Amino acid sequence: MNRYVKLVNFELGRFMKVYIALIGITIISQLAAVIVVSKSYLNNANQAMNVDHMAIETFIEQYGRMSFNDVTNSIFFIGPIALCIVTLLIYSLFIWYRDWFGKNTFIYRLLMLPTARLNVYLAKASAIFLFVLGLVGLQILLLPLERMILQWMVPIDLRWDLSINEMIRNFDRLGIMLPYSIAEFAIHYGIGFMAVIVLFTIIMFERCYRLKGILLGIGYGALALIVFFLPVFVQEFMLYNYFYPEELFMLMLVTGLLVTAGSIWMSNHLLTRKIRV
Amino acid sequence: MIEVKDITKKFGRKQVLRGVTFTAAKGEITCLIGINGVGKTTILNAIMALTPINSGQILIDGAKINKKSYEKITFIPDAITMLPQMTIGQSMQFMQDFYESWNQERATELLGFFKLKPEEKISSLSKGNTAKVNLLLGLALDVDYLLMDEPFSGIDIFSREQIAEVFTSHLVEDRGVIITTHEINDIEHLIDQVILLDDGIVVKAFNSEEIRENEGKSVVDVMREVYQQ
Amino acid sequence: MKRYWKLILLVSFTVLVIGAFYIQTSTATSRLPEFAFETVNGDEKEIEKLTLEASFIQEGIGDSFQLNADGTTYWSEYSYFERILGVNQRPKMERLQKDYRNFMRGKSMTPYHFYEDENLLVYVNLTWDTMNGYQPNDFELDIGILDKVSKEETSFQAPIPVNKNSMIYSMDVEGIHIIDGQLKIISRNYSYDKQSEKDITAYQVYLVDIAAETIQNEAIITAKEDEDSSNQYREVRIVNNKWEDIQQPMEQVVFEEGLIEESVIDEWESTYETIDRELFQYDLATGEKEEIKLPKEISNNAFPYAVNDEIIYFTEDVEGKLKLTSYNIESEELEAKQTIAIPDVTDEQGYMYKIHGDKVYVVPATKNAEQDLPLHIVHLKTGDTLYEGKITMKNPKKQDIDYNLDIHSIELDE
Repeated sequence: MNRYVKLVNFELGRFMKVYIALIGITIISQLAAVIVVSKSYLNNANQAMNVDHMAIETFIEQYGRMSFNDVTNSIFFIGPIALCIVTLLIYSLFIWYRDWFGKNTFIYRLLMLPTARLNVYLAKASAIFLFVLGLVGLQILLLPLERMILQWMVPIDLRWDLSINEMIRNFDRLGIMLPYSIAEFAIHYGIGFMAVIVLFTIIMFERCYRLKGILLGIGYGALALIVFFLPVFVQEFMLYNYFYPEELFMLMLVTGLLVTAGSIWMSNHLLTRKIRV
Repeated sequence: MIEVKDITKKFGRKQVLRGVTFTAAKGEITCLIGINGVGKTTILNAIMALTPINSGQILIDGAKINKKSYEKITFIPDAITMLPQMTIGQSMQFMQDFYESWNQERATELLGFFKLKPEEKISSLSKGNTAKVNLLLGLALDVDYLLMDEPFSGIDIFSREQIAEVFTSHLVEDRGVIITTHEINDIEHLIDQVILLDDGIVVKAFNSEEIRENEGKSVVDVMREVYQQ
Repeated sequence: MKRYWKLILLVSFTVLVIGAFYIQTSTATSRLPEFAFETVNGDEKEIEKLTLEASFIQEGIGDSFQLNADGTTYWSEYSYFERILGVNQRPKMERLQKDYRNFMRGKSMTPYHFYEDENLLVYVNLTWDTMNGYQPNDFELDIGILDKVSKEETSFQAPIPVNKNSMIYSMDVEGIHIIDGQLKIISRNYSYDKQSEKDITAYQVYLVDIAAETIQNEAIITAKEDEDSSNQYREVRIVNNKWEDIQQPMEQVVFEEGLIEESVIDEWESTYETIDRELFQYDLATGEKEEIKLPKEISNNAFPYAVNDEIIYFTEDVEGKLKLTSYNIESEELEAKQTIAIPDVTDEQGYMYKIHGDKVYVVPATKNAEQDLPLHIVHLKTGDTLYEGKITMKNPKKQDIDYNLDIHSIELDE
């Protein structure tokens, strides 16, 4: 087993407790969302039909059928997703700073491992990436389960069944997380990975040059952003509509790879030459 | 041999090292002495490539440090290099996972010598025991060179004795050791080469045995001469 | 290996779940229903080049789709690359982009910004600067000419000449014409006349000197003050059904000038009525105008929808029926008069139609599960119904009891 793989596994272990907590919160909160939303719809229906003696058709006409969209719009459904995103964003910073700060000096150990320091860096990036993908996978598994609960609670006359795909398409935030095709998935998460790498490079700047490094890091981040979107800027402000869509796509693929590779190169340089404990 | 050649280092506007040069041979214990803030730790960090230097060169057996060097040279800083939530056993496992030069036999021997229990968590250890674990993790590596930063500071007397004992044992035999300290008493009789630092330069470098034999001075005597002028 | 359970578990879980998800999505048949043309009467060849842009909505969810003789294609069925690379925009523009890739760079995707004949492809677009953040000025024509035979490209900017007495505040290029090797551009100019202090709408023709890359000459085709009196205003327009098409060679341009009267019903509502109008044709070669005298049978409310060679097609909605009148400019005679009854189309449903060549395509604008969506193709001269069909859902499901289908446009491939 090479040291990079060992490091990834080690980084996973360091966040595992929080990660399992996130998974738990997501499961509980989303299941609660299904139950709460279904129950309140059923109560409404009960009130209307049994107390107000409304016919089922009239009720449906007035309130509509219940569909999974009602669940995805609930705070209990979005809440844990937002929580996971925020937590992982914060952890993207913390995954580095926890090694410098505190009583221990684990960064000494990481930097003194008989392996390229870039492996430490890539292991941390991979860990973050795997955490994200794991949560996406969890959401994929939860959707059919949640639909089953809804179908089990709400009778067929009162509900509107959606396919998993429709559940995702009708909720744009899930749509970003799980786009139509595997190609888009690769693009969305490729951009995500690039963003993590750029953020890590900014952290490296800060760790190497401290206060001055913050400015350098911000400058680097801005540069990365400009380089990545350069084809768009050229298209919009210099050569109006010059590129065909497929050319623009290829150019952004190139600039994206350039930013990612450049950031990894820069981080490697900083880690081997400029880092301080 | 570790060769430190004319290294300089600035922290902001403060010039900490102004051209430090010395060598530390294998099989010898070299002691870097100086008051706090003189840049002793910085020198060790620089040797391990844990901080960049502004100029100068550091060679380990004639080569610049690289990733493979860490199997040959190790550094025991003054704080433990493991996560507090790990147990001693897990720390040893970690070392075994990553270092080919890890010597499990020696690690077990040290564990017995220091009377440490592998299931104990690092966060629950006393200062002395933490220092011992830190020492263990470095000493159990089959390395040629060992750097130690203030191994005795802030540790109770019994632990100090135990740690000092290590230096006379087979555990450091044949290795090149660089130690920093500001109190020489515990180890004066152990060290071979003394490097006195002041104001970012080496003010005096000498062999403790030679100076004792030739001039009849102890290390402390020389220190007094140098620092109280 | 046991120590790496976290890594093994997370990686295999991720790969399996996400992999399975995308395999399932790519193979799963869409739940969106298929629609098809069902022929009731007539020749199926008539719908070969017809495409309806439509959308399907059910319980607030839906997708837009294209319906043609081959069946239904939903937007979501296109691959990612087909969608971002703009497959299926406008086939006409795609052909230009494919054939003249370099020339088409940076040019707008609006078909009527282009003129095409056997030898030339001409592009004319208007550019301007904005003064004070809102006031457009410095109008320029962005002109590109491609010789299709020699592959020679010419492109330049020709500034619109400035007139001291009037200030143009808005412009549209509406006609691009090559007449005897000369480039003539017709534009609609909205300007403010400083002397009379009135707003004026004018059609101008600009003769472009291609060699000198300037506008050589300008002439007014027609200019009218916008406001006649407080409740009457003038409207002038080119009669053309080619807004979705690339401009093609023609000799005459037909204009309509109307006087519209506004009757205020209350604070929120007004009705508009054409009380007087005049049609004339403009000869592009000579610059002469000739009034077109319309017979009494064509009322002021009949809308000159299209010109096809020497025929003007007027359309009029008469009690929910589409009334079409063909008038021949040359012979000054009514060619045909057709009334196309669209059965069972409710008021709120309305209908859409399109005249293409000498045929008219009529379809209701919307349908729900209970309503029919009949399609009629009628020959404008003979009045014969060439095709009669219905748009029906293939294999309807139990849950498909309630939905809406909206037609957005009727498209015909060349």
